[in-house]
Amino acid sequence: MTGVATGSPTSDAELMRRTQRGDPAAFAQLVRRWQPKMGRFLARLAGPAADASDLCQELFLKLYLARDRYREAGTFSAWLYRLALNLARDAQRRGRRWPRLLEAADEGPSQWPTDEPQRQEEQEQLAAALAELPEAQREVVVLRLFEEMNFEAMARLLGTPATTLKSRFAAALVRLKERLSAQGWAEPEMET
Amino acid sequence: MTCNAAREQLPLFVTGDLPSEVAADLTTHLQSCAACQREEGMLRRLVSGLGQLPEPETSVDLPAIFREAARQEQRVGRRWRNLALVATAVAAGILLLLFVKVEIRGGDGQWVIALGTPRPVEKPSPPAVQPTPEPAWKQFEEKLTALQENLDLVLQDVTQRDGARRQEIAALRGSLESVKQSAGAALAATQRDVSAMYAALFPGRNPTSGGEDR
Repeated sequence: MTGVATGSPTSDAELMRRTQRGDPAAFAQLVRRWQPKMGRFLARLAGPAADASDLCQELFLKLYLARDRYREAGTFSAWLYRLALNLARDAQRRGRRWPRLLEAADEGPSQWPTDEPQRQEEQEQLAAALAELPEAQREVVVLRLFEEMNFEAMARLLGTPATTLKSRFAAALVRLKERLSAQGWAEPEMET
Repeated sequence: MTCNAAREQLPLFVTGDLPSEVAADLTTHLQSCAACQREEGMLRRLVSGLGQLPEPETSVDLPAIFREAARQEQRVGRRWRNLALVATAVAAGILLLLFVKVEIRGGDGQWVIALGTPRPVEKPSPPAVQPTPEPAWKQFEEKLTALQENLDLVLQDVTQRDGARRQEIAALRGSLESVKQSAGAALAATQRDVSAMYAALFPGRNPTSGGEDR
């Protein structure tokens, strides 16, 4: 699993200990360290940037409220990923997710920064296709492709056997490919 | 490797998650199968496209987090304090009931609350246990046993009485014998007295002849 190594000048665990002792500066440092990564993770799982900012705010609030429950039995990053995953799932059940992403794609310019119109269109198609995946498949795609987590670490995080996750991941990629093929994504030119 | 088998492995192949020996087999197959190569190309484009999705910008309002956390922790603290107050009141009530001995009872359409030691409640005596009737054969057996005991007692009594009679008879016989002996002795003494008196009155005569010897 990726994350800030505990060997850095001030480890995540040390910052959490200082937060537990009531040091707000330590918590601020943790937020600065993890906010970009968790923001991206939540955005991939839960939709457009506006929602991701809300979720990110909620994630670090939950982290702060749960600071006394943190134990160093596992890595801090695994604990944080679990919090984020549960938060995204809850948000999904509350219904504040994909429709807004799809509406945003339909309504006008995307909130995702892009360079060219064609590339922007492809990216919106990709984002929409990702958004339409079932929750379990989307989680495994985001964790593998964006978070670059291996299947063993993913199995520990999700509590699901790695073999099951591999099958789920393969099924998700095939589904995405079929969706994009139906939208006219051209097959690559064959080398002669 | 068949095309179907190859396409099942392609998603994990393009992300480098296949074991090396399976990946080698698949590579061999791809070298000779244009359709699977196109499939692989689509998947690689897809993975590459996902990796190039722009990263959304997010922001976090740290002071707002601290304010909200303080508010929620205060609310939780108040909730716990209220809960503690309720628990204390309940505990005090229970102690009051235990030490002051408040008696609360209901029934017969009324509730009674009384202080002090509760009156002993008279408990109804348990109903007498009715003896279960014994079977007829057992009664008959008991009667037989009682009869046998009575017969034994009668036999013992008869034996005792018979022994006593025998002793009485033996005693009577002894008495009769002694009377007989004393009567014989008295008769002999009388005969001697009579003979002496006859000889004195009638010298020369035989007392057994009854007249004068002339």
